[in-house]
Amino acid sequence: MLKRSFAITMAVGALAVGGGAASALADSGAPGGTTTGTTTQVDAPTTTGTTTQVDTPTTPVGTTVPAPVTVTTGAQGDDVADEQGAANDVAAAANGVQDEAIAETADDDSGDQQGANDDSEESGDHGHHDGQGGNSHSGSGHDDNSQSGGDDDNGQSGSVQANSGSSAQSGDE
Amino acid sequence: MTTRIRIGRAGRLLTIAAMVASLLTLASTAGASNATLRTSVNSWSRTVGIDAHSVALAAHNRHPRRMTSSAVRFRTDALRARAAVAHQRPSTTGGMRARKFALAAFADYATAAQGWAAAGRARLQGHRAVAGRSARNAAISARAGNKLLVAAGKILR
Repeated sequence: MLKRSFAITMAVGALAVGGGAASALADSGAPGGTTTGTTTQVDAPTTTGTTTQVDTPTTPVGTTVPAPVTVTTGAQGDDVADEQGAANDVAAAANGVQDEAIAETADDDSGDQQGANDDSEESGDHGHHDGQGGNSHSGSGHDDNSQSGGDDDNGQSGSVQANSGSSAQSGDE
Repeated sequence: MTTRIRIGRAGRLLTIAAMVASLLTLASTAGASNATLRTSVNSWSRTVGIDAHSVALAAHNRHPRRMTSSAVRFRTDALRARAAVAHQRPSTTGGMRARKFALAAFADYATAAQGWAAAGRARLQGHRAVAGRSARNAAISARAGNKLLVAAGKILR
């Protein structure tokens, strides 16, 4: 009888430990973009260029401008900052497009020439979020300057630098 | 008789243990589903954020052509993000709500991007009024998308 009780206790213990381990695995598998063994695949965006995704806050090399840092605690804080950072960028884009659409001043035609296959970006556009401490996008694609080929942006980089007031843009160089 | 009682107790104990284990397993599966949704929303948020940054920079530099092409890419990524999030199957009510918000957010972003591209094209053709109207409408969609995306992120936290 004692044996049976012991066996039952062990079985219960094993079940509890197994359940706990599964739960822990499920919780810890999220932030790095990896999937746990039994979960569905994550359709993460593919990026051009280097594909390293850095989830931990990184500081761009050579940045001297103190950016307003969002205080984040752990991976989940970074996650929230991702959405907030995207929202900030979209809001900035909306304002920028509105300003550009109704601007009286002429466009910068010389810097805006694009060929049919030109997928090049603005000089200084390395995909960093403005003022997002945990959202450095170093090495995470969309830095298409390397693809620019014949219609390279190099010729306009000076004027762009002069125009850009964003700390992130200046820090990207 | 005593043996039967003990066997009955052991059976009850085993049943309870099985129930606890089932609950734990269910909880872990739910956590995993929400975790994959969270990963997906985060990754795509970063991507569309980068695209939006390109749009903003082109607009800032008064480059309507680049602005248009960046807006088109933003739209493509927003639609891809929407499709990716649609594939997720959250198992909790909160996860489902977050998914709904994220889907609506990326749809709003796609609409906004369409407006930005239209504004860029109109600007290139010299139709400033049309460009302004498109940009205003796009800004409304963008604001709506922002609220929804941030709300989704908060739920998934």
